[in-house]
Amino acid sequence: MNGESSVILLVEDEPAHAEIVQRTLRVSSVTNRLMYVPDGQAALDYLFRRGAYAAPGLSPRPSLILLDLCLPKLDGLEVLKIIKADSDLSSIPVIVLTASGSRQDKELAYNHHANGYLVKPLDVLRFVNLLEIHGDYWLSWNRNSLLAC
Amino acid sequence: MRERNGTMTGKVLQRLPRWGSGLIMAFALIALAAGFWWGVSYHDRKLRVKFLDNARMVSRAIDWRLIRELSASEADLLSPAYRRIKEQLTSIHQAASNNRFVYLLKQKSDGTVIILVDSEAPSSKDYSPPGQEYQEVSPAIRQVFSDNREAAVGPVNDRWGRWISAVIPVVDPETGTTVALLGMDIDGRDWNRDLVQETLESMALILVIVLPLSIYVIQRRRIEQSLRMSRDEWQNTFDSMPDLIAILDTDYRIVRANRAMRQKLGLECGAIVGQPCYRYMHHLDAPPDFCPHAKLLKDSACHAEEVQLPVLNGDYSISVTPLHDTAGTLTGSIHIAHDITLRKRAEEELHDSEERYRMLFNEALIGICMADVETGVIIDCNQAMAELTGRPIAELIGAHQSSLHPPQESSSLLFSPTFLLHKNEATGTVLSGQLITASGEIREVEIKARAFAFRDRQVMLGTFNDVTERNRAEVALRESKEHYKSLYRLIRLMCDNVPDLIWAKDMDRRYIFANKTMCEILLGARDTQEPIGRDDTFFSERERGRHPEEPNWHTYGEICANTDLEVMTSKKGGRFEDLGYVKGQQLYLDVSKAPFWDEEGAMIGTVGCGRDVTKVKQLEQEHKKAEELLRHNEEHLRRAEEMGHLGHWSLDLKTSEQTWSDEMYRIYGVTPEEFQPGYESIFQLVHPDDHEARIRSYVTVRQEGKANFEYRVVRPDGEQRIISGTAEMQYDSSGEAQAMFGTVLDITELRLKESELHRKNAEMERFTYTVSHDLRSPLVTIKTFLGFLEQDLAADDPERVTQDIAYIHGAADKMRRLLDDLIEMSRVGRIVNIPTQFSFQELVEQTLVIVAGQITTLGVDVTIQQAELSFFADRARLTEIWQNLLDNAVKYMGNQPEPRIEIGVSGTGRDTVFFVRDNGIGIAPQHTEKIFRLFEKLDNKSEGTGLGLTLVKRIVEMNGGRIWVESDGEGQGACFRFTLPDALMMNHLTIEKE
Repeated sequence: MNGESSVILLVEDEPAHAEIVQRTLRVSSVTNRLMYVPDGQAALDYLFRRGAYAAPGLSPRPSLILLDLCLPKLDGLEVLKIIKADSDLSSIPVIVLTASGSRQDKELAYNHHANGYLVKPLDVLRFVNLLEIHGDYWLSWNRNSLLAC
Repeated sequence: MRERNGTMTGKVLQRLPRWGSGLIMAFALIALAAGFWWGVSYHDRKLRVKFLDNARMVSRAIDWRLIRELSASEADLLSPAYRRIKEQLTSIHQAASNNRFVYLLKQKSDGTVIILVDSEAPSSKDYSPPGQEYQEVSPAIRQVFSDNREAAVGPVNDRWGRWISAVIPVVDPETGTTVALLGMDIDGRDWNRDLVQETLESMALILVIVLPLSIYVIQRRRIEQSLRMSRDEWQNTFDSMPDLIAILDTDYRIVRANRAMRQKLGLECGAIVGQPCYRYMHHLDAPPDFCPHAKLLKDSACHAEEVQLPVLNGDYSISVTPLHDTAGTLTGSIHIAHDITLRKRAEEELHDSEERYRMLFNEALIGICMADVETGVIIDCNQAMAELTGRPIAELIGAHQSSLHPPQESSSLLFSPTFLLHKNEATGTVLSGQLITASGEIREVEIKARAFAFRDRQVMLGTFNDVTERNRAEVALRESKEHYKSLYRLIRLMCDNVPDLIWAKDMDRRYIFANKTMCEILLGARDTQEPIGRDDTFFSERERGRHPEEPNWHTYGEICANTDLEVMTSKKGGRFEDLGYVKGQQLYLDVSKAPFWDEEGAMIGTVGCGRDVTKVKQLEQEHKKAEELLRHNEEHLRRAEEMGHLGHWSLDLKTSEQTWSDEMYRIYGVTPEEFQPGYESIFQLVHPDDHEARIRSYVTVRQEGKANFEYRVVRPDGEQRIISGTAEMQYDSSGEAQAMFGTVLDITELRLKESELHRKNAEMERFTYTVSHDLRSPLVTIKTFLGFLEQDLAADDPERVTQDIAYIHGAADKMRRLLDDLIEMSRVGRIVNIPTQFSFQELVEQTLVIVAGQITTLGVDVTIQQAELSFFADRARLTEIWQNLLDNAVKYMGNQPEPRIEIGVSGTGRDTVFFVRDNGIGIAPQHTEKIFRLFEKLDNKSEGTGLGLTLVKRIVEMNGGRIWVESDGEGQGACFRFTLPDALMMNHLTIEKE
């Protein structure tokens, strides 16, 4: 697995939570570079390479998006909808990370084609496992597809 | 009484002489005895005087000297004095033979009396020797001794017998002393004999003279008394005669008049005597022509007349009888007037009566016939008989009674007088029979025959009543009666088999008819006959009497009487409602009464018919109550519909007529005057988008019998209402749809409330969600970093440890801030300070003081618009609005080189809008709603919890206002506008508005 080739986009408004994800990834086998945006608007700007991310090379296409649902300006669910509605972006697996354990949120997320759902505080083992199994698959698939390209 | 008195008087008068003569006899005897006694004593005195005279004469013959010589002893026998004296005394004794003893007595000095000498020969057994003591000497003799006075004493009893003695003192003339007492004794019996003889002789003389005189006097008295009695009797008789009797003299003067006459003429006895009779009897100055007295004066004969005397007011029979004196000369007459008024009247009446009966006989409608019992021959008959038989009276009289009857008819024999007599039917009996007329017609008759004695012969009186017609009528009547009887039975049966009360009463309100129901329900009569002749009071009192403890047990009876009277007085029928208690139960009667007339049109009673309508009345009352309840309920329904905005409607499927309740009109915003509900007309008021829904519900209700619907109504004034309704089919008993019924509920307010509730719920959900999320977030941080901290501490990485702790601190602080803000939020509306009055200016200036630090730091230019506004509100809370908005403005000022904030007011009254405008970073249009939400932050770099605007919004809403933000986009600045209608001092404005 070559982590150098793909990035993981973390959309998280809470710096402490971003730090948690970063640390968690660091202890796991995932070595992909972690890109970090603080709100939904910024996430879309990154993905669609506009605004602050308009310049080329600033926003490599992520092979996995870790998306917080509770975001300023534009909330996570809206971002998810836009990603999954976009033909180009829809293939990027999105794992929802949220402090909300509500069933409704979970259902909404899956309804909008979220690829995974993790409730904070992150159980490090579960998170890593999820990333290793699913993320690896996606990441591998992503890499393979890239290779195919 | 008078007679009895008279009898009594007569008896007394008869007895009196008998009793008187006895008295007289007694008196006479007493007088005789007294006379005898007196004669005895008279002669006794006379004899004694004579005796003394004799003795005195004798004493003078005795020589007192001789006496002195006496010695009063045996010696004297030889004394010559003694002998001399003895001789003298013997001779005296012999000379007067009635002298039994003649002797001399001497009182001795010791008081003893001795006999000196007596006239008895010594051979006599009665001889007393000289000196013999006279032991039986009487006090009278001693008295003579003591006073020397002669006395005739006795009768004295001594041993020799009973004697009357004459004692004469013999006195010595020389000394004047008494020498002796000469005593002469006459035998008491001889004395008495002489005395009686003397007396009887004188008595006989008297009797010879007095007795005839007495007899004469007594006889005379008797005659006189008898005469007086007979005169009184005559006078009484005269006065007690009821006839008017007067004795007249020849000059017509009244000599006497009896009491009847005096009373009749009203005169006293004295006043009438001597007056002329005609003046009083006839009030005339001369005798009337008919005067019988005048006739009598002419011929001296008796006369009688019957005349009417107006003065005496009646008829009188007057008779006169001549009166003659002893010489045979006519002296007058006895004039007797006998009142015959009554007799006259009786005669007249008899005459009248006879006339009447004769008339009756002649004019009687029934035939009357008299026949001789012996012969059977008709003696007399009346006109009716003649008419009945068709034969003249003349022919009938003398005919045989059997000719009256048909020959073959048994009545000819049956009614023959002889037969009837033999049958002992003399008292009369009524039998039916037949008569034959002259023309041979047979008539049915009723015959009453009776035999009676009439002038020495037996006569049969027969009355014949033609009953031919009557018999026919009777047959008809009988048939008619039978008819009526069966009719009555029919009516009775009918009347007794109806549940109604039927009756008839007479004018005294007594029943003459009462049917069974009447008897059972109202009267409590035993049977239908009991009420006859009785009135209501009888039954009501009887019923009340059975339950005296309950005054209201039975009140019927009197009320009925009232309506009876009403009918009787008004003479018109009427309908009444009678109410009362019958046997403890309240009874309503619907009564019809009518007067009852006879054929002449006179009212003879009332008839009535009553129906027990108690149940009907109760039902009526219940119905009335139900109606009232219904009205009440209708009113409640109307009010309920009005209050609950629920209307109802019905649709008659046959007429397609639709009826709406009041509330229906209100819901649709129309009035009954301008709007006629109908299938089409309603469509005009339904929102076009909901037409289909309406049609669908209509189809559903027709198919399924029931439907619920909801659609929008657009009122004529454009207001839109949401209604919800139900409709139901109504079917008749055969299952055919008759009508449609439904309700309509105006749910506009409900829907608004619902949406509000939804909104609130959403907000609540969001709040909960957000709070849980935002509170969770720092917790997650803390928990995770605590885990990291453990690892880092284990790895002994001080740099990382410091970093971990910093994260934990940050999260804890954030959590604290969040909680503080949440508490503040919850305070809004929960904790209310006492409202005070303050001006807009005061408020803004106070707020600026609070945020002065930030403003000064950034060098913000703050402009405040002057406004004359006053609040009456929770000042601290209002201050928070401006404070937060100013904080916000400063916080999102961005990199504005000339930061500026404007505070102001626009509009008036409740619509006054406050604003806080800045020229900061502004807000994207899509976020203008979001910013007021809980925990929403547009910039996560900014400090704060995201609760500030939410708090402001809540305070604004608490004061009845709203808040919104205006921004032309990012970098264009923002303007927060809000209203606070409830916080404003609105007094004058409110008035304006009103």
